[in-house]
Amino acid sequence: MTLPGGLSRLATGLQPASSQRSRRGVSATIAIGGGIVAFIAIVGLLSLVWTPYDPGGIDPTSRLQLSSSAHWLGTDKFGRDVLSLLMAGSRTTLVVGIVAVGVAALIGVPLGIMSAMTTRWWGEAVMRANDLLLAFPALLLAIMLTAVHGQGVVTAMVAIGIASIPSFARVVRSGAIGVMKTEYVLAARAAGRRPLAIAFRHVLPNVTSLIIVQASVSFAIAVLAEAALSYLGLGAPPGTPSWGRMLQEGQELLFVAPRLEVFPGIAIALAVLGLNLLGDGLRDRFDPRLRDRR
Amino acid sequence: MTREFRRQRTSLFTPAPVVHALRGVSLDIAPGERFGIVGESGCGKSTLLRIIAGLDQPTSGVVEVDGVDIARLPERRLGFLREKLQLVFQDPMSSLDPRMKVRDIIAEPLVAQGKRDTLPRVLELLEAVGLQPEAADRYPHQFSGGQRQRISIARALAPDPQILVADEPVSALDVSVRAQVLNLIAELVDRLSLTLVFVSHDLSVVRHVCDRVAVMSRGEVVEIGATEQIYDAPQHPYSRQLVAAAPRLRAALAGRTAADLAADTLAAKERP
Repeated sequence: MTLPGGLSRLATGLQPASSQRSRRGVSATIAIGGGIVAFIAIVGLLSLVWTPYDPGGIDPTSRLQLSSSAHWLGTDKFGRDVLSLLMAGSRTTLVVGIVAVGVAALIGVPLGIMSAMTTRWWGEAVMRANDLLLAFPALLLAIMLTAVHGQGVVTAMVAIGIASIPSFARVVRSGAIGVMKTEYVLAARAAGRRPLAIAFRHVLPNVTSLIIVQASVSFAIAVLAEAALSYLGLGAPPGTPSWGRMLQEGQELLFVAPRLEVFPGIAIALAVLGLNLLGDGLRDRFDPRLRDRR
Repeated sequence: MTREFRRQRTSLFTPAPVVHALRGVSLDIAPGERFGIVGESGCGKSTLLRIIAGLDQPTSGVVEVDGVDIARLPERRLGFLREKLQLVFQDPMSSLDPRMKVRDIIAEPLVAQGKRDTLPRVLELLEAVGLQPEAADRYPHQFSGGQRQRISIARALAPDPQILVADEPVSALDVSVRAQVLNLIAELVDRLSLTLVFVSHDLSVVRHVCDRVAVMSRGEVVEIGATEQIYDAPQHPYSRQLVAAAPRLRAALAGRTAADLAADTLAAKERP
């Protein structure tokens, strides 16, 4: 269940136990992971209409309170309700994750498919450029973009998205190369199908499972990256609720009020765990060897 | 016609090694003929087939279909060939897209030609290959190997081709289904008066459906002739070996062992 471990499980196959679970429908991994992700999504949606307190509401009279019936998770140094901040922060996390994964998939998937389908030089060129991007630290990219476009959630999202392009392109390319070797693609060519039609009707549907798995893994990475950027002051600006910002703001009070670090830390860990479990479960479910049984 | 493939470079300073998949192959196939190509795995049968079907290009040489050289045409100009020539592939598992319904698979050549309302034609084709109309809305994995190969044949017949090219269409099937599929191909070729190009490593299968056979070995055609002639009186040593290898059971009963056959093979290879 490691982050960069990627799709290695796909190659090594499947334990018999989980294959039995898959046949019954949803595996425990998917259920738990999906449950956590759904919970965070619901909390994020809920925070749009209701939070216990205004997440931005500064109240100097109730600073640094411990957990109580009024403030379940206590308050921070400005007297803001930690639970409300966490709830509102999940929104930022979700939006950043969705947009970053969206950017990465929208650019990475076509690049991967194109480079798998062409035998010309530029297919290789795309992948070498991809390697270049892969070697480039995501954080450095984010700092660079921030320097040019200014600090903000949008800059962070785009930076994380761009940094996630290579993993999508690689995973999709390797899957697409496999699809291009099949006889049904040969049959489609013999039927007179144009490359674009083959890409959309044969290659894309047959790599969808890879894309979904990669999306959940990349989402987890994006959650971590957003927290890191906001912690460094490169992501969410002051005033925008974000788990990473909460970590940063609580840092100076680490020994006075450690719970200000613990709660957002748990939230981040939980989100990443949920997404990874979901990704793992989906990967097992989409194992090509199970395809015939579905 | 020749076809060479470059292998991966093994050193930075030597040019990439070249594999001669086909060397100087020359064939004429008459319209309406049932033409077989036999040879062991790796002898270039499939490469030849792909070139004939316009899915690969020869390194040198000409492939004429109805007087048009298809070897140098870019893929987007091969539309006429796609209507005229269709393929049945070897592996019934990988030749049908697992994500597509049977009706979409069979209709694919029609859709590629811009035809609409393909369902009537699809049902007609399903009937022609001996499948139920209900098959149209199922997915490939719900069928057996023989049934899948029937779907593959239906797809090949969809655009009403004049030439049917079959690449080992029965070698992945159980022996019990093999004869059925072979008979189906033979019957359809007869009924629709198609030209058949049939590739197999199994001489007995080719004998079942073809009038004329080319024997290939190591990228060359070593012998061409009427099926019976090659079967009864093979001229080239390789053909003789191939014919001798076919009825292994009788030879084994006559007291010949696997070691004898291996010795024969070795002796044949050493011959120039």
